[in-house]
Amino acid sequence: MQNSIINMKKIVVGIGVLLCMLLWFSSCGTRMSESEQPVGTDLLKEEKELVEEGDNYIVVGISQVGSESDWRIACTESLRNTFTQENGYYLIFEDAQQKQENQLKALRDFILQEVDYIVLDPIVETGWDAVLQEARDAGIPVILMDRQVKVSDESLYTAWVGSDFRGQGVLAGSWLSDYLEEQGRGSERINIVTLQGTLDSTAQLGRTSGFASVMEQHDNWVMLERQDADFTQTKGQEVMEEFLKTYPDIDVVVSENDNMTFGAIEAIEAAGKTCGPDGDIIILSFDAGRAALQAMEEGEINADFECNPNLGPLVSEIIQKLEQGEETEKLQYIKETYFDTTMDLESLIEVRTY
Amino acid sequence: MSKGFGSKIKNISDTNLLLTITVVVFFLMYIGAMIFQGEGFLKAQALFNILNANAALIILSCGMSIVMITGGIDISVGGVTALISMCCAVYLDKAGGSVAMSVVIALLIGLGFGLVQGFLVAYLEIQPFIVSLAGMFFARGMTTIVNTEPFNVSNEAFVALKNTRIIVPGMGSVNRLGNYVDAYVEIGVLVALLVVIVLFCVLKWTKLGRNFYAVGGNSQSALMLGINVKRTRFIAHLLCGVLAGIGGFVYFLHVGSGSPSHASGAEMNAIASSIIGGTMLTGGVGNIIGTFFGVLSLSTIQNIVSSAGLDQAWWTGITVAAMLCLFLVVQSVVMAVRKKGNAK
Amino acid sequence: MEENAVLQMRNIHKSFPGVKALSGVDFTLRKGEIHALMGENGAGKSTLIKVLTGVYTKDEGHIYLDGHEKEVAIRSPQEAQKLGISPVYQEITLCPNLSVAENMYIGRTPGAMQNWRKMNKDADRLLKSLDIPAKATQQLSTCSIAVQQMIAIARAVDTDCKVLILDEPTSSLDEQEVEKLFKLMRDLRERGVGIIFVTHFLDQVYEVCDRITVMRDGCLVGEYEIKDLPRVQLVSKMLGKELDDLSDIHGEYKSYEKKEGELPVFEVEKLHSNAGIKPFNFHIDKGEVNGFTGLLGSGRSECVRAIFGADHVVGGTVKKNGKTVKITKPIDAMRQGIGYLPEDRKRDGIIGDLSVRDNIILAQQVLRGFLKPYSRAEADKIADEYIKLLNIKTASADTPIKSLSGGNQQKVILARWLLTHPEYLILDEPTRGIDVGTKVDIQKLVLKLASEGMSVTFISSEMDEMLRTCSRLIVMRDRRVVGELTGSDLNQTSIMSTIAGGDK
Repeated sequence: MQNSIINMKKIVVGIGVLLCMLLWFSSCGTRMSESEQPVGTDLLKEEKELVEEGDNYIVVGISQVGSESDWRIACTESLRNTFTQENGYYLIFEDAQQKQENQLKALRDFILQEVDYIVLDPIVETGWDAVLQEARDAGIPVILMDRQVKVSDESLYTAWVGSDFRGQGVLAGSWLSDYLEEQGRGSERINIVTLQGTLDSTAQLGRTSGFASVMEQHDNWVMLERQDADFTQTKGQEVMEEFLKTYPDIDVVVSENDNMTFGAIEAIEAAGKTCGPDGDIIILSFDAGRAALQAMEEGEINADFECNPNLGPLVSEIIQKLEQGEETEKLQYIKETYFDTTMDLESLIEVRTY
Repeated sequence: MSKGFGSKIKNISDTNLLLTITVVVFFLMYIGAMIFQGEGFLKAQALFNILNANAALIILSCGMSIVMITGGIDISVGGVTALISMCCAVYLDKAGGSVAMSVVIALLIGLGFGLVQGFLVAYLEIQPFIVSLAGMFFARGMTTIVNTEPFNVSNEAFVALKNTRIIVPGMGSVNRLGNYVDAYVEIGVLVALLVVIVLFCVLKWTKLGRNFYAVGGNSQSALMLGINVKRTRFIAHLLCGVLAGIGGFVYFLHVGSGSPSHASGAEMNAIASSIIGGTMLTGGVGNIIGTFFGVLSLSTIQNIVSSAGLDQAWWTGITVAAMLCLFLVVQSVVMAVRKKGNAK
Repeated sequence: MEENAVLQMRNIHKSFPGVKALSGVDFTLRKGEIHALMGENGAGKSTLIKVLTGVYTKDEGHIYLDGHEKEVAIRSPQEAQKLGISPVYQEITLCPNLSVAENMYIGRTPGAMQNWRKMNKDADRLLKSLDIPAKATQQLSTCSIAVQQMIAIARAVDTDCKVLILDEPTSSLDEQEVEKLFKLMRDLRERGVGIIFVTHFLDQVYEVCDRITVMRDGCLVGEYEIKDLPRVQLVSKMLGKELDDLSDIHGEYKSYEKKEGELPVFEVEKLHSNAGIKPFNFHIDKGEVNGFTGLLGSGRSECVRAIFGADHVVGGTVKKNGKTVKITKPIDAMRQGIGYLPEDRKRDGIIGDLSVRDNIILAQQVLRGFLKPYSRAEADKIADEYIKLLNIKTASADTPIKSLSGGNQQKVILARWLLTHPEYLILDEPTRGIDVGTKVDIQKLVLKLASEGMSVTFISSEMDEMLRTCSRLIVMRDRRVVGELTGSDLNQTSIMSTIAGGDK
């Protein structure tokens, strides 16, 4: 064994030295070319060749949360369709599979690769200070989307695009107000229950407070109870069942996402009641996914307030502005609308991307 | 000349031969990554980023390799890591403890798992897969009981430790703004390197280390040769547990949060790294340096896959699987050829 | 206490549930002596060795070492080793993934750290002094089995062992390697080591041993000096037959009349398999019953397995009725009309979970091919026919075969082969483990089939059976054919002296 140990040692040490030398020379090389753009001193590669030739491509690194829901997948689609080479972009896309450590690694890789822009949908709100600082030191602007961050220094990111959850809540409130007027119930006592999303999540906070603000304007609206149903169908059904047992006279159900709505519909039907435009109980939902719109077509939901996943174009707009050296607004909300039974649902469902 | 080389191949041990294959493949891949990803990967920081992200995995894989060398396996290390992260996070933030104490907690948890599992495997002779499967479920379950929701740790001392950077002089690079940025590694990397060196010495130069190999090679023979097989197996699992403790804390230091979904699949990555590094599932063959390169190889694959524009989440898995199969086949072929050549 | 005795075992008894393995066995080993331990199947050799090496604990008896007055207690392999008793088994108990030097020293050096340099140096020195062709640093699995064995012996010797036990060390060695091993053994003898050589190779015993101890059925038959024991006597003691026993019985059936000029049904020339037997010639005529005889391990089963293609055939020709045929695997043999009842019915014969009926139709089904399965009715008919014919005691044709007694299982396997209507049937130990009544039934059946024109080869460890059924015996020793006996030579004396060979 001894001979082979010595031989092994020699080989390993030799290769180790070689690698160290390689690294040192390469970093040497980068250090020496301080004045030049790093891109110019590169190896031959097809992609980079394209970049060099016209230097037209804007390199964008996107770190996405994952692919856990239809909404998320639609968002990713929108991004991929926007940041194409035809549109002048070179896209590096990283799926973090719900782990923050993967996003941190992705961002650091982007910084190392010296992308032009970083786009991030942060899985959680905290823990970003260090890496955003690194991005700033490297001169790479960071654009946030969908979820938000809590950082000590707000200037660490350039812009944020996403849904206006509060606005959705307000829209829902005013739609209800108009609907009740039409029905001639404008001064009746209206009993309302709310199925809330995961407590403290951005979406839940926005939608609840938005709706509440409209409620304040109506004395005859009574909020019987609000409860956390975690954005899932199962919990939605459970909580709705409880509501039905406790309150015999519910007029309106505000469900802060489609999944909970499906659960609520089941609970209502199991209790022998009906919902929707022709039913006993009015249902307002959020997200407006395909499945929900189909349920609306079947008369089970009154109105649905969308959460638009197509953030791609908006992000691209911001990047173009920055390229031109223009200023952009810090917080930008994407346009969102609503759906109800007065619309031509069939054709709308067809073009629905998620 | 060829005769000399031929006899050197003949006389080299299985372990060293597989190690050579691993190292060569790793370097080929790293060079491949340099070519694919180009600019960014040439910087030393790219390698350091890999080390930073995988320090914990390196430690866990070392523990896994040792257990595999003795012919066993331990699939609880991922769960133990998650449990440690959650317990330390809760301890630091909700119970307001000290960082030093949380290190102790981590080690104790790892030690506990190692003790129990080692006892069950070595003295009660229950299959290691079953024992560690139970351990894994237990650890994951406990993690959720300790705290259901994930949260980031805000304890200042801890955060300071987490963000400590150890500068590697002379390896820095210039970024696009023209500023010189130092290359750095996290503390966890130093711990990992230390663990690797210590374990390498243990496996090569202590009786205990050699006993691991003997028991894995042929436990009946080892018994006949006077080795206390039960105690050796027990210590192997114990060591794996302790290393899970160390690795768990390093992981915690890196992510800075507790969550039930932390380190999911870590045990599989540890096994894959060990196999790529030249540890055989059947036992008796394996080495720490190879495992170290196995971990690096795994990460380098990820980089190559993502820079090739493929959907990283899926394709990494597929590529790793392909690599594993390739390694297993290469290992079997190499072993078979050697045996045939020597069957007289 | 005998002087010069390094080991004395007195009156050793050992029982297991249902069987008495050792009944009052004595054994003595002297310094600087190579002592053979021999005995047929079930004699108790391995039990005695296991008692000595601490794997089993004796029920009664005393063991003395090195001339000490006080007896020793050996309760575990570790204790045995410490007392200087070192076994080297047929399966190498070393670790193939460690180096030669490691294997020699692991588990017995002091301290917690491994000193490679010293270990390799010591190992090289030891290997050289014993003339073993291996390097300290090479991995054990790169050495041949013979060398590995020598390394195991080297380790034993280095532990200052007084009693070295070699358990069937030459089974997997070729002639040159055997010579090397013997040289090593003689070296060790010079050094004063006592060696127990457990083997069944007669010639080897006479070549290298000083004394022999013979055991039979758990009892000690006797201890003899090699120079005082002629080979024939040794064989007779092992088989338990007296030389003057003339109790051979002639068969009751008339034999098949061989026609003039008829070629043998099967003939093999220089047939040679990888099971270790020397190339042999063999022929059998139509309606003839012949047999292979010899001590256990002499290669009888290996010969017939080669004829049947059950072992990997490496050379030689097989002719059927004068025409060369190719038999490389059992299905070829079956197609040529050969049937083979294997020695180990549990392993090679019965399919435990299948029913009696399924076991019976199995071979014939294979011959028909799987596209022509037997219908349930057909299979039932066949099963019933043979159950009656062979008087198989079973609850029904559906009973899983594993619940039948050994004898009845054997009958089922026999039925299986009879169903294929072979021209040549090979029966390897067909009556082992079977009650006397059934034994006679089977012997009668064999003679009946022969009189109808079937050729049969009958192998048995029991001389009586062979003499009762066979008209020609092929004698084997140490894996090679050493003689053929017919007619008036078919008596025990001739058989035993042919087995013994050498100088009478």
